Amino acid sequence: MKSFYYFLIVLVVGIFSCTDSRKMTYNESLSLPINSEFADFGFTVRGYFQSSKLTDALNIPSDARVEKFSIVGFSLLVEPQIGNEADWIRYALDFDCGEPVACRLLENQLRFVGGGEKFNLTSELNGKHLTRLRCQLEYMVSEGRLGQQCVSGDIEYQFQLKTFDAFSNPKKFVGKVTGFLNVQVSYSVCEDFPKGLFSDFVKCDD
Amino acid sequence: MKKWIFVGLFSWGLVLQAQTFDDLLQNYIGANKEAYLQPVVDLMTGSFNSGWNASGRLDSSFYLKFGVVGMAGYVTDNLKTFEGTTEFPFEPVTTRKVPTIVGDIDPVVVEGVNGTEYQFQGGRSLVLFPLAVPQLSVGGLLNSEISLRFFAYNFGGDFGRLQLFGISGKHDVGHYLGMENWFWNASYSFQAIEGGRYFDFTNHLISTEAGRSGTHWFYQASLGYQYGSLNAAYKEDPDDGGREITVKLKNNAPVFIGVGGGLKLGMLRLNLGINYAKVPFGEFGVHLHF
Repeated sequence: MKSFYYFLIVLVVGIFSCTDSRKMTYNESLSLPINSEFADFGFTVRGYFQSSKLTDALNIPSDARVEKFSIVGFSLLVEPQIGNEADWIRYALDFDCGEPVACRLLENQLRFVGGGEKFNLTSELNGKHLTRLRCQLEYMVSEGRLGQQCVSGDIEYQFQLKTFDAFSNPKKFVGKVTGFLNVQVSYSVCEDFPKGLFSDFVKCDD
Repeated sequence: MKKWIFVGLFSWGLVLQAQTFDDLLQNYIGANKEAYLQPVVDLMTGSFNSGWNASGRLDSSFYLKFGVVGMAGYVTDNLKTFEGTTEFPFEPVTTRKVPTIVGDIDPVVVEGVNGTEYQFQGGRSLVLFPLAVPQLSVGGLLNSEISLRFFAYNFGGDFGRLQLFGISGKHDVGHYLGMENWFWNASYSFQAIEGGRYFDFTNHLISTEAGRSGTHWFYQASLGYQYGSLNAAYKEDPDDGGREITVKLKNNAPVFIGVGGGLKLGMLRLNLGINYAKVPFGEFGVHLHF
């Protein structure tokens, strides 16, 4: 009996000691929340996409190699609350793309909010500028390996909201703006597996 | 620190490797997670239900049997894809045939409005889902046999203890009919696997097998009803609230059929068989019979 167990142990140890390093790919999704409450005649919100914070939030391991970064969509919900006097809002979203004039993701659109409508702004995004933002973010999370044609560094963004009544007079807007920017990242890491397992995955060079 | 987590004593079929187990499961959150992970339950249910039935006619005198049972699910095309649907706020809502966890390694990317993109994660391109477990059987009393499977190992760290327990009861109903060269058994088995705080898997099989048995050989066919369920739980990132997310899955193929045969060579018992439940499963057993 003993020799039987020794044989099995040797077999198992043998199998698992012969390993290959394979490039395994994982996806991570992240929803960057937008959540602000207002009671004003208009406002501007400024913020930054920061490299270290974005990489941490995406859970990208330190030894990983970013393969692809995508912007899945952008959602923005404007919800007027009790005390709101504004009927119309005009909004714009810009980010610093290294040009003299900031790149505008959302044009200055006028929306009726008197009825408390919810609306999704993904379809209003400027595709050219969204691609540019994606490229800058990709540069950021890949530590410069991808997106090298884009501007590097932290990205400042700015969201402006102006509020009016039906006669274009500034009016106090009471409500909240919520939403999120959804992104996905695909990264690869080299992991050791017994020879023959996951052989469809690319072998790591090391 | 990366780690290996093996389910089964000598298994490399369910190799789970990740920075942490939470990280691994977080790759599969969202509306598509059940369909993405469904093949795991189908393969686990059928694989763990393999290997119980291959004993031929039950001996009428007391005996002990100990050995290793190996089983493997062959991953066919019907397990490799599912209809995945993009999630809000991606526009337009799009449904595509995309890989499951055992499917193709390449992700599927769908292009949306204004430069947006949605990525469906690739799979692991698994061909076989092999497992092996130790099995102890006691029989010969009341024309019955009881078999046990047990394995436990503490991986420590964030995963903790992995434990498998299985029990099977089998009764020779053929002897009531005076069968001699032929046999007919009825059996029930239950298995439970606990994977730390992350998952538990339970598996039931009610089955019957019939065949012909000689002095040194047997062959048989079996028919059964199986029910496997997997509950997995993991924690979101603290940034996302740190909530516990649960996934509950059941096997999609309740009917379990098989054919097999074996040899009795002194103390040594060898058996081979093939089963089917959505995909084919192979089984082999090497036992010492006392």
